[in-house]
Formats: sequence, C-alpha cells, structure tokens
Amino acid sequence: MPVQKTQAIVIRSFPLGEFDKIITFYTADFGKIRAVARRVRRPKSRFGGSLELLNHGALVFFERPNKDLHTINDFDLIDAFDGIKADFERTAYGCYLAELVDAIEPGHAVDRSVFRLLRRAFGMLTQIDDIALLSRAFELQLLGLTGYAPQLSHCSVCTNVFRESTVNFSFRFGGVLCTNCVDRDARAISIARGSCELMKQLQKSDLSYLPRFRASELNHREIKFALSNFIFYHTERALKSLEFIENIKL
Amino acid sequence: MLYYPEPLARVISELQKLPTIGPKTAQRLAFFLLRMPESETTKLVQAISDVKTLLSYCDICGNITDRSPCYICTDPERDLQTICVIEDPDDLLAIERTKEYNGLYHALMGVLSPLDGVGPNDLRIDPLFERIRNENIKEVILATNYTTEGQATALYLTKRLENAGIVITRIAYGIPVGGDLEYIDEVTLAKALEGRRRV
Repeated sequence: MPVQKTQAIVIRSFPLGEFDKIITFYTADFGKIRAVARRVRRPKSRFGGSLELLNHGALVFFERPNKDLHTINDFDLIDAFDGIKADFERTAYGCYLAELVDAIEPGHAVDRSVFRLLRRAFGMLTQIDDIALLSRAFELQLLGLTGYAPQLSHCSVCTNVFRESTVNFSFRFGGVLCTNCVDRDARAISIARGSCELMKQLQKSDLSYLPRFRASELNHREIKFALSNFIFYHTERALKSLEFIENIKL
Repeated sequence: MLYYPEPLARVISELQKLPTIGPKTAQRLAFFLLRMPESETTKLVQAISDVKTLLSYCDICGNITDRSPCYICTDPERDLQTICVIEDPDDLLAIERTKEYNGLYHALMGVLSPLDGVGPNDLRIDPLFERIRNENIKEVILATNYTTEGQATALYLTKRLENAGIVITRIAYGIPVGGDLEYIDEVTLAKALEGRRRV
C-alpha cells in the first residue's frame, strides 16, 4: 500500500459503523477519491474537526491499488473556510458546489484545474455578496473544465457564428441555436441576449472579477434555469443541495 | 452458519446486526444466552420487546419516554423558561449526565443537511417555534453538534429567532478537560482562543 500525499477538499462524508467515516475528497493529484477515516467520531480522535465538510487540507493516505476505498493516515488542515461556515446561506451554497463537483467529475479523473477552481470558489464564497452569481460562474467554468461547456458563441447545430437578438438555449444540443436550427429542439428555451452575454463573461472571467459584474433579477433567473436544466440533462441527477437552496426561505 | 443448529444460527445472525458486534462476538453472546437460566433469557426478551412496545417519543420535546409528556416536560422543579435545542434524544442523556442544566429540551430529530436534502420541514423546527410562542420561554440554548451541518442548523435557528425577543445562546466549544494543547487540532484550538474569557 503506497503512501500518497496531496492537497484535498472534503466534498462529502458518511458515517461508517460507530466511530468511522467515509470521506469523499476532491484532490489536486488524484481527482475524486474516497477514503476511510478510522475512529474520527471518537472524542479524542487525532483528526479532531479537521475532516469536516468543505475543509481544505494536506492529505496523507494509504492507497489501495485498484480499490475504490483508501485509508486516511493524516489530514493537516490548511483552510476550514470559517467565513463560509459562519453564514447559513454560504454553507448551503458551499455544499452545492461540492455536490456539483461530486456529480460531474467521474472518479479518478485527475484535473488540477478543477481542484484549483473549487478552492478558489470556496475562497470567494467567504467574501462575495452575490453568492448566486458565483455559483453560476462556478457551474459554467466547471462544465468547461470537464468537457461540457455550453456553446454560447456559435450555433450548437450548424456552428455558424451566433448573431441573433433572440437566444434559444438547448440542453440537448448543449448551447444556443440559431433561427435556422431552433426547430431541431422543441424544448429549447428562450433567454434574453443580456443573459447569454453574461454567461459568456462568467465562462471566461477569473472568479476574483465577479464583484464587478452586475446581474439583474431576470439574468439570475434565466441563467439559473438554463444551467440547472443543462446540468441535470448531462448528469441525470437532481442535486439535493440545489433543491435545498431553492426551498429555504429566511 | 451450517455448523450450528438453525435456532442458534438465527440468534447469531440477529446479534450480528447490532453495532460493534462481529461474527465471533455474536457467537460468544449466543452461547452465553444458551447457558443462561431460562428465567433470565425470558426477562431479556421481555425487556427488548418492551423497548419497542412501551417507549415512544414525547410529543413536546421529542425525548424517548414511556409516557407523553415525558418526566422532564412535566417536572415543576425544572426551569420552564429555558429550552435546550439538541439534535437527537441521545444528546439529552449526555447533557442530563452533567447535572448542570435544569431546563427543558427540544430534540430536532436530525440536522439541516443540504447534501442529503434534509430541510426545515423534515425536522421538528415548527414545533420548536410553536413552543417558543406559547410557553413563556426566555432563553434558547443551541446545542447542536459542532459539525458543518450542526453549525448550519444553529445559524438557521438563530436567523429565524432573532426577532422573537428571547435570548439565544450557543454551547461553548474548545479544549476538552484533560486535553493536551500540543495534540489539539487547529480548528478546535482556534475556536478555543476565539472564545477565551476573562478569569
């Protein structure tokens, strides 16, 4: 069993037996992995609170080749993202970002840029006011990194440059449709040109620039609807934390 | 299980379903039960059966009880103006063991969990608000666990109760009694420093 070291973020955890937990990490060097934390639920556990959800740390684990479940040897906390956990809504959004990575990223796909994006998004989640817009930018950029980027500049069917004032967005074809091709998908939805332009900006801008963007209520509503359905179409999975955010009223 | 007579195999198989009981322990316990006087095994069977038939949850606080309202909710000696909000009835027993708290309880029966889709309607949150409105409550102590979900639940309740005109407090967290600073994890130690108080 080789000992491996990497940076990791806790994206999920389940109790196992009386004292153990199975932790799902997104790691910098091994992609998504699952590992057992022995005796983590005991009061005097050496892990303490370091393996809590959304924590970022330096992970040391015993790799079991060709096995799905490894064993955690050590987890040194780097950032607990206290700013997220001190706010109820930010915690809910943090869980959503974690669940999205878990749903979109297959196991063992190694992509440092996904790890960097998640870490950066958690960092921004502690500071930014428009956390819904951060989530939309994260969705677009994660889709891009995992090969599902929605096509927003060219028609998704004929690939002609998209110049129409009315935008039809197709989940099935993975992007916008021009007027000639819109009949190909009866379930394509119509969104404002401004929402499409904003999505293009969110797709390519560094998350640190997000405070400069202004999104209207219409932009928020349309982009959220388009992306959540787009993600559902590709993952075939309803994300529980997204539903949780929608149902919570404070 | 082929080595055992069928009734014994069944006992071993059932005992294995209990937490921390593996095949060998289950086998040891089964043979112990076999050697016990019949009157003792009958008592054990009756006790296990009573746990399922006689116990239920208190309609007011959610405590495990053989009568509803439970002994704590109907005890006139207790502080009837303070409610301690806990995740599960097991936590009530832990707090009672301290003998430091004399108020009432309210078990939520879980915590808010975005990842598991557990929302406020899945927990006993509305009955808590009802109690605060109808009983002359002055203080609510939030004693959910210091996990991400437990903390999120405490934040949610704080936000919902901020205009209720009551004192809302959160149990302290930090270094355990007998703990060694050198081995305390960073999160706990940072919180202990943050929550330090004048002596």
